[in-house]
Amino acid sequence: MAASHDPPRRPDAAPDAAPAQHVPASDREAAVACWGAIYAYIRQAGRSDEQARDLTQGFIADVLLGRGLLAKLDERRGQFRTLLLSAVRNYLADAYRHDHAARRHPGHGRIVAAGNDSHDDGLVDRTTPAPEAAFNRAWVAALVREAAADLQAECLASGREAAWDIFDRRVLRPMLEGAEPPTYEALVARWGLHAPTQVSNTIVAMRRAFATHLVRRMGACSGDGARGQIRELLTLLEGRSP
Amino acid sequence: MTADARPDDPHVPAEGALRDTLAWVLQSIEHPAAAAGDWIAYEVDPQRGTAAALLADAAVPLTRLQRARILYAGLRSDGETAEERAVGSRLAIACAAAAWLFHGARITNHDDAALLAAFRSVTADLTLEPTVREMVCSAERKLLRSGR
Repeated sequence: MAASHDPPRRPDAAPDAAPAQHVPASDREAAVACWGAIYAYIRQAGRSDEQARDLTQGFIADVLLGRGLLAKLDERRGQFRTLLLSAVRNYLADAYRHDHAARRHPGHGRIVAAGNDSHDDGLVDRTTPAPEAAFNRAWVAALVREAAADLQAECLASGREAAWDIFDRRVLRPMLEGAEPPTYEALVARWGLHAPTQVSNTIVAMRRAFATHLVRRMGACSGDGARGQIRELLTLLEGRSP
Repeated sequence: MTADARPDDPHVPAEGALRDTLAWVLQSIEHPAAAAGDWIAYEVDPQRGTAAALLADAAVPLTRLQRARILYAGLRSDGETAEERAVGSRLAIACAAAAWLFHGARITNHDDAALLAAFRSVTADLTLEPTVREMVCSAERKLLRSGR
């Protein structure tokens, strides 16, 4: 492992300098980025894992890619998250109606009872029963993952492996995965640093850079926009209406 | 990329972890300098997590205050912005104040006069948390009493 004696370079832009509204660049990018949130909503709506996967693929093929959901995005109607959530909700309702119609009219004049569509195999998280809550949680998780991936790519492209490694091991993994953080002494030795303050200053710089990337991923037009969106997401994660 | 593409890792972190992450991102936008101070406090004592909680609690061990002072001094020398460096400077002094107030220990080489001047510079800084300023004010009074 190559030792680096240089502290990480400072991020170039503050969160307030985020670019104009950013939604996924294409429907295909949106499909990848939003898979988890779409799946989480459908799964939490009571579908089995297999059904939820099928319906998620169906939604992506029919609505996101098939009907070009991004093309319908109109800033006046709200953010992409809201548009996507609404589209998934409608898609699931359509699927429900379709299933019930098929059961009521299975062919050959037979009438069958419409059973419970909730295929609960015990895996559905009943502690946060609202599908919207599952959607929002998965949405934020995807945002965090994307911001982390952006920051990692930026660091690796600019020769700041040490900065990324310190941030990843000491902050990200412990926070998101519950991993045990390495000691400062271990990080100093790992990267051939001179002092523990290099670790702490790296962490401060990297937290700020991560915030910049997360705000960019949110597509905030301004610092005020970012603040508003983060507060809204915090409120949604707490299960309250924004 | 096709419609059946899906992320490799469907792991969704705990809701509390996501809330914490958003909260510190928000803090970095709203109060960037204070955020740096809190992040270092979190490094030293994740249970307390903020500079105010770390420095205004008499139960914080002396070794932790010494550690925090070193890291805040590092922020004072190498912080990204002037505001961050100023916060590093103030909080390093506040660590010395807490060590003196709660443990009767001197963790800097300052003499009394220099220490009093440093404490007063912190209590005069209205951007710092009131609890931190009050603690430093108490340390200042204790130092004055001890010199009589």
